[in-house]
Amino acid sequence: MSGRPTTDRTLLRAALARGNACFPIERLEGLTGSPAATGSKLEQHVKSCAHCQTELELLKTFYEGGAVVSEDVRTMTAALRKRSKEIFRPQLDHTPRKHRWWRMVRIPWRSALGAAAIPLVAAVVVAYRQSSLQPVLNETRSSAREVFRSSSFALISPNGDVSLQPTEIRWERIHSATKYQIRLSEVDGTEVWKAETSDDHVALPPLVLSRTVQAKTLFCEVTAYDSFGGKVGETGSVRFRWLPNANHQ
Amino acid sequence: MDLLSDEELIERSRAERGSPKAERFLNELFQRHHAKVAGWCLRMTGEVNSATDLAQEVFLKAFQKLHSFQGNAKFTTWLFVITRNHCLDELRSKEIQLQESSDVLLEGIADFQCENVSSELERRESEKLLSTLIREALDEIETKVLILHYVNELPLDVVNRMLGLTNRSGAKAYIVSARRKLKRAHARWKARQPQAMRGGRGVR
Repeated sequence: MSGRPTTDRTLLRAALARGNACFPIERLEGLTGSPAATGSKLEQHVKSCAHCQTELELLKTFYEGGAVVSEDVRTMTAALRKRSKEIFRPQLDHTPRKHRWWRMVRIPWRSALGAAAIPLVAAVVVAYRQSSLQPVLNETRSSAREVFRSSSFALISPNGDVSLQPTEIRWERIHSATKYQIRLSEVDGTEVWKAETSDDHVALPPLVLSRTVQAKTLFCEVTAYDSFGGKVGETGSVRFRWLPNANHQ
Repeated sequence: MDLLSDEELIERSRAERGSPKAERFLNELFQRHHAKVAGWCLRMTGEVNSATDLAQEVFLKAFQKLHSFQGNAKFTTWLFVITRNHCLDELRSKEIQLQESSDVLLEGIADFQCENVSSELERRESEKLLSTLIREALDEIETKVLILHYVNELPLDVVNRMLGLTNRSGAKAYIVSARRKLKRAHARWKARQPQAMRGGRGVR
């Protein structure tokens, strides 16, 4: 008896599923607008096939979705217009194909300049060290570090789809960092919250917790700074979302 | 730009690929369909914020797959398929379980614990019989509810919103009524069959 509901489900699914005679959706679209020629094979089949009728009704519902717009849908379309950059951004980051030839010309020049700079820098360093009997001052080294050591580090949590409501943000500690700046934003870039700490984690305040609702996508970014205020690393924008009903399972 | 069809906008965006003009063509194309996708996603989730996120994901997917659009169907139909599949994937990923019924749906139509060829044949016969009974006994809305719930695996609340059902128990009431009608239709069919044939079909 325990297996019966599944059995019934399988039976119903098989009886109602798409049959060999059913038409693909691109043929059914012919019936969404003006009526098809009466007596056409397509129309005859749809009249007698519940599966194709349902497919056609779903397609019509989608087509007509733009005609009658509720207040909720209006709110959503406004949000989508604002977020359109989010859709195009990943593509635009690697689209400038037109300029590839130029890059190929430029890269050897850059390399050549870099190669030429090495002996020059070496000569300056040797000349400086020879001219000075004093040891090299630490301050100049540390200022050099802040320019060259800026790198990426990992945001540990929250990251991606999470089953529990995030209550804190945690990231990898960077040795040279004395301060971290945390920025939380919505998908359209609107800033939700910003904070600074010297720790490798920060608790989300109640106001922010109230805005991290289920199913809402948010982005978090942590930037590390050293004692001179120089940027020494960043996590980049990390997406996370608290899955709906995950806490209740 | 308003005068261009969806398909022409895609053509132009392909011709201008990588330039800001291409982005403008695509923006126009997608904005035309914001309401359609938004409305569909709202029916799926029933909540504005999650539906907006879902719609954004749909457009992102459509944008990433646009190169595969061959023009065999209208762009709207192509987008419908992307929207529907993405929404169904989303529902499945959240492991929304279909509400199982403890009711024995079609008492006596078939034994599905098939272990040999003859029971496989019986299964096919039963499917055929059930298709006939569905056609004869159920009304249009009951059939649609069954297809959306059992074939498309939509949860009942989504079926309610999809078909705009406003009755008190929504899709569930239609499923209960459909089950009842199918049982009755099957009993009538059994009564019409000669004794030998009933046995031959494996009806218990």
